[in-house]
Amino acid sequence: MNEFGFRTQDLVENPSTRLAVCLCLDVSPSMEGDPIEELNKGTALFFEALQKNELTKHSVEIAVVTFAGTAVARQNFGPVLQATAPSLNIEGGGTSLGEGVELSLDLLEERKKAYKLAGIEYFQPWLIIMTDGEPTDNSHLRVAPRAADLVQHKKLSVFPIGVGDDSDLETLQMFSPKRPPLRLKGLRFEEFFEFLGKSAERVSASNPGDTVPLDTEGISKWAEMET
Amino acid sequence: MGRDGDLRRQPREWLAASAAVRGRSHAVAGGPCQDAASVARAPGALSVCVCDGAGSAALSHHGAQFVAREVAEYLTSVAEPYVSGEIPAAAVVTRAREGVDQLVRNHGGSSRDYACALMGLVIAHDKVAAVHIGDGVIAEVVAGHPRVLSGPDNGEFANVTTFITSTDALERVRVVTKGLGPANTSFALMTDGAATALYEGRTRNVSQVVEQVASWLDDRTEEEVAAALATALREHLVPKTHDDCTLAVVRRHAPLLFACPSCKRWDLVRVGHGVRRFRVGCRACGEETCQAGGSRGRPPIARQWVLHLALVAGEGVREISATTRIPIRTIRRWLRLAVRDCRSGGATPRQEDHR
Repeated sequence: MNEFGFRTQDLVENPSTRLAVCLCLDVSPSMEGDPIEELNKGTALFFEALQKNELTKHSVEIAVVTFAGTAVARQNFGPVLQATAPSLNIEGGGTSLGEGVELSLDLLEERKKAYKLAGIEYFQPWLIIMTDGEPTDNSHLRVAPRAADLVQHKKLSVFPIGVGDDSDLETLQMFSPKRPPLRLKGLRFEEFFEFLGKSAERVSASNPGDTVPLDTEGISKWAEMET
Repeated sequence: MGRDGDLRRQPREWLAASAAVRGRSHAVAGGPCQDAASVARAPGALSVCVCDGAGSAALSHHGAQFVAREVAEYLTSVAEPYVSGEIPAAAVVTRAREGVDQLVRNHGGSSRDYACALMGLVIAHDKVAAVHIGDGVIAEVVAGHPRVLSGPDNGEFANVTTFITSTDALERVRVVTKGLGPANTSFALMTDGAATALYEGRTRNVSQVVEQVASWLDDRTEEEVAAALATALREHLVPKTHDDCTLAVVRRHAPLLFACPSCKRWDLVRVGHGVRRFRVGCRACGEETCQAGGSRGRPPIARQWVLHLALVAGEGVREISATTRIPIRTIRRWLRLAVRDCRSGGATPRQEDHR
């Protein structure tokens, strides 16, 4: 071998550290019209931004769960590069927030198991909950403690977002003992998802021991702040 | 094939080189490299300490540098009792924390601001001890094969680990001590960033590159190797991670080696039967070398290879015969002569036996 040479083919390739992001979205009839359209636009931009970014395209994985009367997994976790944003439609039958979150937590749990099995490292996963009204059943009373417990034990990051003036921030707070729920300014889904993408980039670039600050400047663009 | 050497010499001297380079995320933000490495020596002892400053700790680059130096010096000063296990493992944590306390007194901040993960290695009198808190990898190379001596202690999530300043550091400190045989040629200490390309998390395999890099110390000075190491890290490891990259290598001085010249594995095998052209290939990477035979038969290096396989790698005569295609009778005779030479104190190769 030459002086100071080594075989670069002997270097190892480790899989990128993954950030699992579950979007848990309200598609009950109250979201009809502009809200669902803006939500679809926002998620499409979110997917696009993550796919374009050098950091997030190899690390972020997204699942989409929608809830109305029942909860449905519109998209399960997979590499963001191979994913397309699902087109969301209004469904009837109520607003079962608890079931939506329960399904999301199950998907996240499943994904973490798969990472462990494959020996892939991962960041603390994210759960984004967006709803515009009050739940129509009591499932949230059953599920909220499970989410809150995960947050308290630093196993999960929850981003609770209320859409519109009728959104029930008190109920959302039950899922998120650390981060207070924020109300979306008008229908600024795009700005919200831009913030989420930037924050995901920061996490993807983080090293052991880092505390990752969210893109707090970005928050004021979409969230109604108490004055 | 390898260097000529005196078989009866028991080399005790070890060499070390290290480099710490700034990762991409700190380069973008204009921040300092938060890793540090330090080597300390005393007669009959050598120690290395590598520290990986916590990203969220504002002054962790100072912490890493100061603690690496303090702990390396400390390990050298207590080398013998430490490798013998007479001093508890946690003494290193205590020492590191005293260093941090001193930093807090002199430069302000709180101890958390100086948080870092720590890897230490101390060699004394053919014993070695590796001490480890947090992530990163300490590797040893035995008979040309690198393997984990102490692996990363990560939490469930990728950006969570233990630091010397963590409340549970005293419980989480890990120590491995062991005796050193002639087949122990090198050690490597790498931070989490460098481990991205040198350690496979899923299989716990350590890259052969650590032995290839450590072998630079066979021919060049520690300073030269340190400079080359920094360049290699910058060019090949930094692009693979966002984190700072630090690698320290420790190498037995002038090890008697019959390793593949390319990949450095001890996996050589005789190719063909030619005596005048004694050809040897690597089972692992396929690299082939040729040693021209003397006018009277096999080259002298063939006998040294046999002695290396028997005395350093510890192989049996049948195994050696299968590898070298040298008859068992000849191998036995060479071994007898080597033992006789050792007893009489003569080291001259016996030319008449190159049949």
